Amino acid sequence: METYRSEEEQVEALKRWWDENGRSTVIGIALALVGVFGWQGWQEYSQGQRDAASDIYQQLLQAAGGAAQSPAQQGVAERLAQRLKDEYAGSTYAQFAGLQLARLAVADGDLEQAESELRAVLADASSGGDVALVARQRLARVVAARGETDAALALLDVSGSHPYQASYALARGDILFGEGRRADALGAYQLARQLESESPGQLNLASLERKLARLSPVSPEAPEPAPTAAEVEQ
Amino acid sequence: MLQDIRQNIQGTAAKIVVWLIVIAFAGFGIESILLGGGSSGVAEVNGEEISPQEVQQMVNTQKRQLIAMLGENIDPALLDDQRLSGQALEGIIQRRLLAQSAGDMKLTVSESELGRIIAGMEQFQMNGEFSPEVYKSALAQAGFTPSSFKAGLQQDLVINQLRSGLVGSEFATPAELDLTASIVAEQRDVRYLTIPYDSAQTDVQVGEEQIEAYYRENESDFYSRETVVLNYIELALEDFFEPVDENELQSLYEQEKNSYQYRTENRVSHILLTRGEGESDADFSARVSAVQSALDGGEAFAAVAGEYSDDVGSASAGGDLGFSGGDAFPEAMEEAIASLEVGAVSPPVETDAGTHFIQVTERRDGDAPSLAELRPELEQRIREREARARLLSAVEELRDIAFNAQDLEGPAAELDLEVQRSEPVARNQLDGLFASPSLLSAAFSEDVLELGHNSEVVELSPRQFVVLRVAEHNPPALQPLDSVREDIVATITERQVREAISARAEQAVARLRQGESVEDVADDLGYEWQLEIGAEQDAGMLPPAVAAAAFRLPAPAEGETRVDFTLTAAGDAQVIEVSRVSPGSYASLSAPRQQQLRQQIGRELGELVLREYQQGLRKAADITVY
Repeated sequence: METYRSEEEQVEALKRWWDENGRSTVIGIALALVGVFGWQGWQEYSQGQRDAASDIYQQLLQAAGGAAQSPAQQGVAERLAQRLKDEYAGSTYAQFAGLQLARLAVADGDLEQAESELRAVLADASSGGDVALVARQRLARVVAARGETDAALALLDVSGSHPYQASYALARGDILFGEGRRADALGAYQLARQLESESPGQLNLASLERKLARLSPVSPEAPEPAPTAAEVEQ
Repeated sequence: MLQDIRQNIQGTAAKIVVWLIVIAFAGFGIESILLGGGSSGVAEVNGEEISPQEVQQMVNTQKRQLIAMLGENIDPALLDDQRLSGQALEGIIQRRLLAQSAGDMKLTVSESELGRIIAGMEQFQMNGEFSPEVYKSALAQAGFTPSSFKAGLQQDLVINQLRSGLVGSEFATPAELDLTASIVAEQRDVRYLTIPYDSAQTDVQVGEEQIEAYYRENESDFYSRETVVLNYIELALEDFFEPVDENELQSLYEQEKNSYQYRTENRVSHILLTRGEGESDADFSARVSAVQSALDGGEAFAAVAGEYSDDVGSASAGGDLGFSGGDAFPEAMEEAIASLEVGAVSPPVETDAGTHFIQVTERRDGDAPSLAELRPELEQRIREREARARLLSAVEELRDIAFNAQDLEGPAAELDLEVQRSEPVARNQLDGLFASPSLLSAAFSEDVLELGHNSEVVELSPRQFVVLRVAEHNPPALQPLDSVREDIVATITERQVREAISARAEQAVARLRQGESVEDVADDLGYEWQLEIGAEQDAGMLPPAVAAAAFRLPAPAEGETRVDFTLTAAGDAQVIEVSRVSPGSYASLSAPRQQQLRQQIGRELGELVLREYQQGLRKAADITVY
């Protein structure tokens, strides 16, 4: 450590140090302050954005709940959802809004609109995420309902493992059954049911059971010649 | 340096500072002990702890729900903390995962929205408005603080946002509706004919060899139930009843007679004169005599009260004070009231308040019941009160003695009680004294059944206690053929009847398939066809077994029929002929059914997606249960 002989020398040394480093110290402190307050401000701003989007979404849920009964409510729901998509693009709320719009469009019979909403959600959501996977499955069903079976089946073909295998299989089964490909549909339904039964608890999948029963050949109580392949394919 | 500190703390100021530090440290120490501090969670979900309090709160909620659902007599095993806390923890983990995922998606609920929702909750409202007091007390009762309640509500709300966004946006496409409707609303023309079980019963003979063979092959079905025969001592309140002492009855009757409900009540009016400040004796007595003379002069009491009384409250009501049962007013007044006839006015009565003139305006005579009327009730009360004390002391004694005794006879003799013997009691006993779950679990406990000890003294109700001991244990044993013969005959008969019925049905089916007419077949069998045109599987037009079988059959080709039969649970055979099949169409369904179908399809897919979503979270999560 340096030792100073007198006070003047100490003052002199400080001044010298300040001339050399003063500017960078001030700038450093200023930058640090800007950083801290900027970060805080940004946090506050984005929390505010989220809160605002959340408030709109809560209203949307309320309106969407009554949409089936009243066209006015449906209009409100559509406006709120559109606002979420426009003003809060990129947020999860905007994606949820897109899914709700797709649902309302399907209920109105406007499959084209539903398809474009779902495509927008799919493009916006991070690929491989839950929202994207769910949107993809719905898009496939809407595309199939518009008559493009092959495109729909291709959409349901996702490489790699994901948690939505059972619902994908169920959707595939419906598309195949609708096309009259009964054996393929049966396979898809069976896969869906098997995957579903692997997790604990029981879901009520009554219409899946009915479709399975309709597609599964049963041997009658009274013995008769085994049904021919053509009969099974009916 | 330490030396410096040591020298410096000799000063008073320094001492104060040191003590402040000591107190602060002590305080922090206590806090961290009280709050547990450190890691005390029961599980960790992606690094977030689940506290034991959280689990306990959930367990308590579940217990309340179970008791509300099943009543107070619920089997205690259902309320076992161990069992419930497993479920509770599972539920909390599930919720925590959803909440974390909602956080990752940056879902949130703003403070203002939260406030709006809480303010709108009915249970926090009074007269239709949010009341902070009601809010706080309702939360305290349920074991929440405002901040923990808000946090929980916020969690519920973001989870709901997540669900409605991902699952609530589910739909059913027109193609799916058509497909499903074509199946669930399919219509079939069905003809069916019933061959009743009874029609073949008379044909069946069961031989001795068959019975023996069945007995040998199905030995495991013929074991008797495990039972215990119990010795027990029952202490019931009734056993401790003794004759009631007449003096005691008398004193209880006196007490009862004077009790509130039987008292004589008087409706009283008064005129009160209070000496004003600075009012002289002479002036005051002049006022008193003025009232006295007004009353003596025959003026109505109420009018005088209105004019003169200083009791502002009653003066305008003619001096009326309402009813007194004898203790509403000062003693001097009550004495005067008791001696007054109805309508008469008392001479001036002095109390602390001033001088009163009193009138009894109405008297309700207390109609105290006679001793004879009250006797049964009072006797019962005294008997039970005394018996209860004797019962409880007997139970205490029995507890001590029975705990160490090798049998029940000893304790019974010592306490002058009687040992009784039960009928055989099974583990799932449904009637009699021993159907009580607490007695069954005592009788079949390891301590009593296997080690042969006396049970605890079990309290069935405050009036009834039982201690028991196993006298005989009958493990399951193979019953001799003779005692099960009837059952076997019944079983074999049923099997053979079913075979016979099936054979007849099969024959009928074969004839129909060969092209014989339905009428001929029915005539030969002696039964009639029932016909349903355009039956649907769920519409309830067909008997359930017929519906299930008829819609399971592959559809016949155009113009042809398909024939089969089925056996009902009751053993009847039903021969079925399906002719025309027409697929359902969504467009021709009624509006409510259309809506129901739309909802059903959306719900099934939605539930499946939710399930898969949760499983996905679970798989990706890092969950440790300690």
